[in-house]
Amino acid sequence: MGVVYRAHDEVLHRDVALKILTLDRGDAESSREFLLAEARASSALAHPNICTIHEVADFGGELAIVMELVEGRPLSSLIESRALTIESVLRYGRQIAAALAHAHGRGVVHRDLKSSNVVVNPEGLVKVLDFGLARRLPAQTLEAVTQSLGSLAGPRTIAGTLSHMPPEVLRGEPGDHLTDLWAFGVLLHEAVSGQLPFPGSTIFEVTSAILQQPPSPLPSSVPPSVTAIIQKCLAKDPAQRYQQAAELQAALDNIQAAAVVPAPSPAEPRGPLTLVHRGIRHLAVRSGDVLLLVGTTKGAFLLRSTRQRSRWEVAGPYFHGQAIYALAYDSRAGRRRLWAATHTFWGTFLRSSDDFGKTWTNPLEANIKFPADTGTSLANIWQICPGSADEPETLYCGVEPAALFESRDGGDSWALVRGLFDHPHRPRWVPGNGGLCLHTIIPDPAAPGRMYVAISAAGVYRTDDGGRTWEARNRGVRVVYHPDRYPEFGQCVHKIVLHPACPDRLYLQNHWGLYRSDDGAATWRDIANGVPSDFGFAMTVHPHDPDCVYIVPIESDEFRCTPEGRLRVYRTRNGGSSWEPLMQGLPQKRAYETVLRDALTTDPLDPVGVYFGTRNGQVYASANEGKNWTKIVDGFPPIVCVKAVLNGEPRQRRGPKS
Amino acid sequence: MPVMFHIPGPLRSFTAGQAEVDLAASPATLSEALAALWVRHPGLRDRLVTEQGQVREHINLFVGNEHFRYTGGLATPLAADTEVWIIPAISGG
Repeated sequence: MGVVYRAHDEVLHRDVALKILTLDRGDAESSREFLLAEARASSALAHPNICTIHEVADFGGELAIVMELVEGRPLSSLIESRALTIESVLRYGRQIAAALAHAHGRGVVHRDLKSSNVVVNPEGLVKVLDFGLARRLPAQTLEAVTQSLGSLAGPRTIAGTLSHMPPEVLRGEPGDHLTDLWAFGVLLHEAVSGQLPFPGSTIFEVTSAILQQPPSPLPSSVPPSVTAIIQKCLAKDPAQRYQQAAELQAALDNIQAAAVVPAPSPAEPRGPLTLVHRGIRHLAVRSGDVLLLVGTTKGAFLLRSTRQRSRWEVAGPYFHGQAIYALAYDSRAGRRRLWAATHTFWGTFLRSSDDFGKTWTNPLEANIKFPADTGTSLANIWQICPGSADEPETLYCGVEPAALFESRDGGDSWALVRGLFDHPHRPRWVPGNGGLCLHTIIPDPAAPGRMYVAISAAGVYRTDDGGRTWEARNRGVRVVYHPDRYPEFGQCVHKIVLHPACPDRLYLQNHWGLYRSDDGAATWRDIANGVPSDFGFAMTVHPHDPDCVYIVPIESDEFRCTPEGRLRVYRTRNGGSSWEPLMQGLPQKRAYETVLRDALTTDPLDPVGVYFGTRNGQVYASANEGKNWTKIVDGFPPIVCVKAVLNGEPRQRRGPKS
Repeated sequence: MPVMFHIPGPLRSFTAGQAEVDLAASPATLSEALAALWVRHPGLRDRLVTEQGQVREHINLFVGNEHFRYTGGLATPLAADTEVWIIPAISGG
């Protein structure tokens, strides 16, 4: 664009930049007049982020522009294929947007905004150069690539670098202020990623990309709020872009304001926002430690012990005030990932933590959503279940209203399992007291594609083909609130468990009734032999013994407390032929407790640790298979789930001898 | 003239701490204003409405001083300089 000299104004005693533009001989007089008029209009702009034009003069074949001398580096050289920090991008972007808003407000359009036309001085002050000068500049002063396109596009010379041109200009329409807003999007994209949004090595590739392709993806480190602004600037349809630079400026101001507010965390929010829990002394978890994940109606807690399990360190509450109905631990594929489902009237979200609770994902969008055609909305997540070990990217969630969701990418995205949702029984399922919820998911470890789910109040369903078709499996399970005591479905099943070593055997705690199946849930038989009540919620199987099951009987559905105010866990060691009470260390007077369906669990150690939490907020632990119990927590909010986790043993590595 | 949203505390982690969000645009309806709000702050959408687009049960929107239920729901026309309040309902538990 001509030659630039550093010059000195003898009259006003100031250094200036003197730009000499050589006009094309072929240019009509009217074009030169127009350029002169444009330059004079630009000289009327007075804004701290616009390089001021002091004087414009026409010397016949040459146009001299006297302008403010800007000391600094072009933004293009600051980028040089390296992304700038988000703070820098916001700082510069806001100033450029302010310059555009000022100029557009006065009818001046830049038409060639790009990073080489933006200079940043050492103090971080931005100056936009060459406002209004791009239009009708001689073709030979433009970049070669643009020249070629100019000939393609017909008689009108298209100014501005090709890669910054919006689709409508490529199609031959005259540019306007929306052209600048598109170019701003290109500049912002380049600044946050170091790459142009529509790359290509030929004119054809670049123009095709601009006309047809979405912008190249931005790094995941770019905050969604910035991504949203760039996407809006780069909308192919001008009507979908910001319509005013002031609007764009406001959007940037908002983020800018956030950037200057003391950051809530040392790391800026990236990807899914990160949630950092302050004021909590987090756990320092070592290999071999046992962790308890405790979900309550008012937050989650993490407890840690060594494998002696005699002293417990407590951290929390995480997700203060939110109901946590589901917690899970995924140790597959080398992960150490905690999952939590958080529920408030702001919705239900899945969060994960890879550092034992210090930071959690805080997704912008709900992870689990019913498709639009179902007309259904998620009410709660009741269960998070990592899939089998040989499919480490598969996870399941059981939700309310009763449905199963599946993820095949480690929990990043989720899809409704249609086979179950479209089951002909579904319209006739009825909610239990806790709502119509799918609360238990058991992938069969021995049969790929086979999985059991339990729904209250619909019963047990099994698939053998990876979720495409499902069959009710409730034969022999009694329903007390239906004239047909043994219907095909409609059972209010509270829990089912399965031992991996004996996958055809399942145990079931029903609304009333304790059952066992030895044929993959095809038929069930009553095993309530010697329990004070066969009503209850919680049930868990011994990790090393398929004949050993733990339950906590509850007096009745009317009086949902432990019978006679005695807190007792019952255990069978013979597959349900008989049950024995375990009460050493548990209160046997005025202990009107309830243990909910997911609040009883075991760890995988030997001897096995058994744990449960009560609706009155107490956690009891036994390090010897239930023989002796200790109250390890008193005074939590009502407990809805307890999960035990063994943090993987350090691997024994034996390298070659040196 | 702009529409201003008042953002309740629990949602401010999605507005970078801002208690008030000014929309520079002039949306014609509450629905358009909300759409513009969550273009700017994408984390707000799924916390205010269900996946079927209904305002969540225990979330109240006030257009000026009136509950949006009585002003025409999401189709409520917005005058210039309207303030919209997002306020969680009283709830127990």
